[in-house]
Amino acid sequence: MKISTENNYVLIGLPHSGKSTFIAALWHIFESEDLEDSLIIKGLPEDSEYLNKLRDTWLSYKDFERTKVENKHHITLTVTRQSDDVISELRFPDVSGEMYMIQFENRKLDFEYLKMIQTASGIILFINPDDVIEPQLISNVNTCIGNPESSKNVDEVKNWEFNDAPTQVILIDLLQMILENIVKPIKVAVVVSAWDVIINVQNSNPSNWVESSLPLLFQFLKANDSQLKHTFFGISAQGGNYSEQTSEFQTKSPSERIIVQTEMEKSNDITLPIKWLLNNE
Amino acid sequence: MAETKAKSIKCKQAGCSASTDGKCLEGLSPDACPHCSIIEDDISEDIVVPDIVEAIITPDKEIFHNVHRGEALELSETSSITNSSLTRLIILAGLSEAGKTTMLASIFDLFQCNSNFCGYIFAGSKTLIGFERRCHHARIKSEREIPVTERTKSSDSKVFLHLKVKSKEKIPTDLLFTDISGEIFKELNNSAIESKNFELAKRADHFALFIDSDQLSNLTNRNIAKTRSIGILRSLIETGMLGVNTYIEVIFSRWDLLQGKSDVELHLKFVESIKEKIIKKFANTHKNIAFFNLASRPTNLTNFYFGYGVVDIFTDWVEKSPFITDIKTDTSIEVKNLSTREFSRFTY
Repeated sequence: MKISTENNYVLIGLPHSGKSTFIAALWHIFESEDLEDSLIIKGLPEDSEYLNKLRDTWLSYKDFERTKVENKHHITLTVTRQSDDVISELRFPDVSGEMYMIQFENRKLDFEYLKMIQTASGIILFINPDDVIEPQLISNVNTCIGNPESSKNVDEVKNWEFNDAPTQVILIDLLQMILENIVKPIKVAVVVSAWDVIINVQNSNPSNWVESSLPLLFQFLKANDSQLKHTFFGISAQGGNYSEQTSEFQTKSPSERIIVQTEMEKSNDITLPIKWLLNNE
Repeated sequence: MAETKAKSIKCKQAGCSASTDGKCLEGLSPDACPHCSIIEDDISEDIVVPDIVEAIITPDKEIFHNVHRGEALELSETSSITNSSLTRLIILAGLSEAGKTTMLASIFDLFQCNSNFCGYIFAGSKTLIGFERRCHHARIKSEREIPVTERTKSSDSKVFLHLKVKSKEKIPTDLLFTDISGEIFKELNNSAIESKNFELAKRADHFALFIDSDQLSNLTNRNIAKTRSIGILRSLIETGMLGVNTYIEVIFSRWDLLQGKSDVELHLKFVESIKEKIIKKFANTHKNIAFFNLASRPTNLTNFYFGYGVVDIFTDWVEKSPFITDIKTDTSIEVKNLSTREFSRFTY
């Protein structure tokens, strides 16, 4: 039996980006052993109460409550591939998306987070397509509707606030904060969550979607590939819309409703980003 | 006697306050800084703990690590960029409302909305928030009906915006743009002493002089716009602040507004007279003078596109530097005269 080193991962994502849903579905796949090639759990963790609570919510087709800033759940799992005997210990915290907004605004990292990124071997970066703020220009709208004569006075306009920043700018800034505090390159699995929303309206793969929807982030990752080796995943841990599809989900096994799309394939294996991060190539 | 282990920081570096407030002079975490050592102290109940207890890090006490501010930089803050690469310094000059800040905002938006901009991809910026603030009033989020740019304050010393870009097969290039109020340039035109103090111009790779074409096509205002704008250039050249190899770009901004006026031919002739005057007056000593028409954010997108004219200017800014003799081979750049570390001694 081979034991690999510890693998610390950081899950980055703004509020509602799908981090907790991902962990819930991941825990289900690890433990259920439903999928032949997926990673599976090798021995139960000492405390699985939080993971089981997340999974129960996911199994009962309920939306997750927002993770609170003060609640950091440190998760440690020992997993193995079903095809060989390599055991890996995974450590990652489930932190609030609000914490990342606070970092962006306050320009400070707490030392616990700093230590976490300095010892991390990988990042999973979550993006929820439904919540992407784009840099929409007034001039583009005016081209469609014609140039209005402005009737607004100065008091009626809105001054810039941190949460006005486009999603791609915030995510780049968070990655830059990491880059300035690490010395070794780090792998980044970019996860486009709620992927069912994308594939229902367009035939796209995750990297094409990021390139067209968050072009600045795509450029940044490409330009910094030597420091941020990255790849893209489209993942719907929920599988679809609960209000419309719960009865359909109830006829399948829970694992079957998970959608995972890479550049090459589509499957239910939500452990693929972890496998990619674990792969030393 | 109960004993607890606590940690305190000791730093060997002069001027570092890490031992008192936990803030490392180098901006590093104490365990990452080569000058700092973290000492585990035994604290017994009957030891009188001195005032330094404030600096003791206990596991449950949160101490934060500062990261880059994200806002526009002060001159002293640019050294982290200029010390790490040969940075292009681009001074945007011109009278108030000539379109300097609008162009910077447009460049950032052009990167944000496209998969690349004239063959360059975005590689980073230490001033993302600074850019965002400048872009805001042209975005829907501002709830404005027509896009505007907020006027740059003359009192603001945080005037440097940073952009790092990369083109195929090349190492990234750092660009530092100034966003200085037009009022400052008016002062330079009024006072030779002020011009002599504008030492930053000596280090400029590019000096971009913005002349408002809307003013040039107004028969009442055009001579003031012409004389004042050329006056800025003259002041800096005659006081020796603009090096002979500095690239000077004369930019006729808000070009769409001139083209939208009646008697366009008349206005174009006036623009030509400005070009002739600049060439006649300065080209003998300053060989690198070029002229550009620009409409960063045209009001009418039927005849002009967003960022009209930006491509040519931006490409020059990235590719040309008077301080580099062989820019094509990035791995063997020969730097003339000026060490990047000298950058921070310049003032404006």
